[in-house]
Amino acid sequence: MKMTVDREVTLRMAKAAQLRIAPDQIDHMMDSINDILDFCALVGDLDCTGTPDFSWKMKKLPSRRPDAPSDWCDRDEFKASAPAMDGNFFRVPKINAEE
Amino acid sequence: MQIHELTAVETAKAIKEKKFSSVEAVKAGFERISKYEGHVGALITTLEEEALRKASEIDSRLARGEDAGPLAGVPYIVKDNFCTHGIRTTCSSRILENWKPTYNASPVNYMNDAGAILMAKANLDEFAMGSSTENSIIGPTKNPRDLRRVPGGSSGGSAAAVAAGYVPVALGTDTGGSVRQPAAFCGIQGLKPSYGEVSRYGIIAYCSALDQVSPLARSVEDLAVAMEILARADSSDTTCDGYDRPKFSGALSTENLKGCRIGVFAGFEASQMDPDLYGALSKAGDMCREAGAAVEPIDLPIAVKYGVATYYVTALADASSKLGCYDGIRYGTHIDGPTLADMYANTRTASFGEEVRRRIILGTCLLTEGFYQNYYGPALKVRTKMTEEFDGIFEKYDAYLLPTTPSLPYLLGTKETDPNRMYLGDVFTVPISLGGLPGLNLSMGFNGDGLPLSVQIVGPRYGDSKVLGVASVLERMIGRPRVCDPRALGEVA
Repeated sequence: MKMTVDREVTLRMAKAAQLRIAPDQIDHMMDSINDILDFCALVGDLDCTGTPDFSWKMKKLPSRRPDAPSDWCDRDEFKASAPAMDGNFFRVPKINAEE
Repeated sequence: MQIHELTAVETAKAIKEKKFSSVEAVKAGFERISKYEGHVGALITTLEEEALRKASEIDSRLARGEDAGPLAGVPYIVKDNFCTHGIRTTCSSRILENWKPTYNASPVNYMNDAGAILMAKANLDEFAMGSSTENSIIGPTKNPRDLRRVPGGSSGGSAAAVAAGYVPVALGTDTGGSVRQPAAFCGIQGLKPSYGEVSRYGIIAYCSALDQVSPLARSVEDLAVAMEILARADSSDTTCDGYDRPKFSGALSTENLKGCRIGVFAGFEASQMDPDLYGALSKAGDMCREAGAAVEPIDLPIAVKYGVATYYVTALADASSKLGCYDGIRYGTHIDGPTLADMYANTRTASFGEEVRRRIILGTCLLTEGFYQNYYGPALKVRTKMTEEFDGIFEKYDAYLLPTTPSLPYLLGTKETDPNRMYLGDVFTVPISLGGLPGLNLSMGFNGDGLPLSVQIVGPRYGDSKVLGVASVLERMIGRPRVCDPRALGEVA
């Protein structure tokens, strides 16, 4: 079944994706999403009664790594690539502004 | 023949036989880069000093009589979505523009262990989302065959670098055609392996359900050798198959196609695509027949009608999930805010490009109540139907020929904005990705205007050797693609 989004749903989806849309871009984003939803509604046209969901099959399952800590990277090097550290902790803002 | 015109196998052989050194091979590549990169714009980061140092090490090892690997001293390039230890890995995005990974992607380790020398990291559409290599923090890459045109994408930088003779071999990633289409646009060979053949550990994901590490080169033999280096089980990637791979280069000894059954796509009229590309497909079918194969026309009705829509539902939903990890906390760009939610939104909104933001929002939408039931769920079933259609074809045929693209490389800045028309550019590549099948773009020479022609050779899943075998026979008949000196074929606007 073909579906569409309105301005309110567009903004809600952006928020769920941790993104903002500038006020003058909302209609453009909404139209763009609706164009693609319109095109992709085609997937509902094929009769797939009794057809299972797609899943990948492998010839042979890969070997597993030992479930144990490894030295895959240097801790200090990893910390150096973080934007903001506080000792051994990543620095983040407060969860809520009023806290 | 000059060093930069040689294939990877020829370069490795010449270095081993001491006709020239690895240092000379690396210098020859950087001479090309120095001369043409200002026009082409294929590279995000160059690694001249480090490459020369490693080449010197390889030369020393060879001088001591050591086996330095099958590609000892051969220059290569990777797309900038492969993690490289201590080397900036941007994915062409502001959100990673200064990020230096703390480890190598497995395919990078494999190439280094094989003695190949990493020369540079190549441009791509941001997060591999695009098909023209125009959406990048460094700006567009231009097609070396005609600098007025796009090189295709998203692995456009890797394809342009191989066509322009910077390196004989490069690695890209192909999700819905991102190696086969730029290979077609730049007039070279490119192979998307079967899903599960090559490890993706350390590849920055766009859509894990489809992404595949894929080599680009100027000969089918180089693709086969690259596959022998890249395709192996990897305990760091649970989607990488654990089976013992065949010797891919063994398939190249095929003299002709006698006893081979080959299907040729017959689902389009000549008027539905570029006439020269339509002609290239017919010619490839005729060449197979001439080589002794039984050739029959065959349609692909479900995959062609439903493939693009199924691809976009699958890929966008996956992308919205994968790109959720960019939060500005552990690595990458960080833009502060009064609350955690503000910081996330500030960082992601300012640091992702417009196309990436659009795809994330759309993908988020497709995974919510209602949209999931009407789009994502049906797409999973259509995908099963498509694989059944392919299974039926490969019960009868050893290989299947179809176009790689319906159109020739287009002019820069003329990207289609109507999604219905824009996505049709992917109509022949995405079904192959959805089926997890190997697909090889084979260069078929040039049209009267000097633009590259191509055909796609597809095999059953894990039939990569079959595809390489058919491609090698056709390549011997038509000739392998040559390096070009980048130039414009007409007046630059």
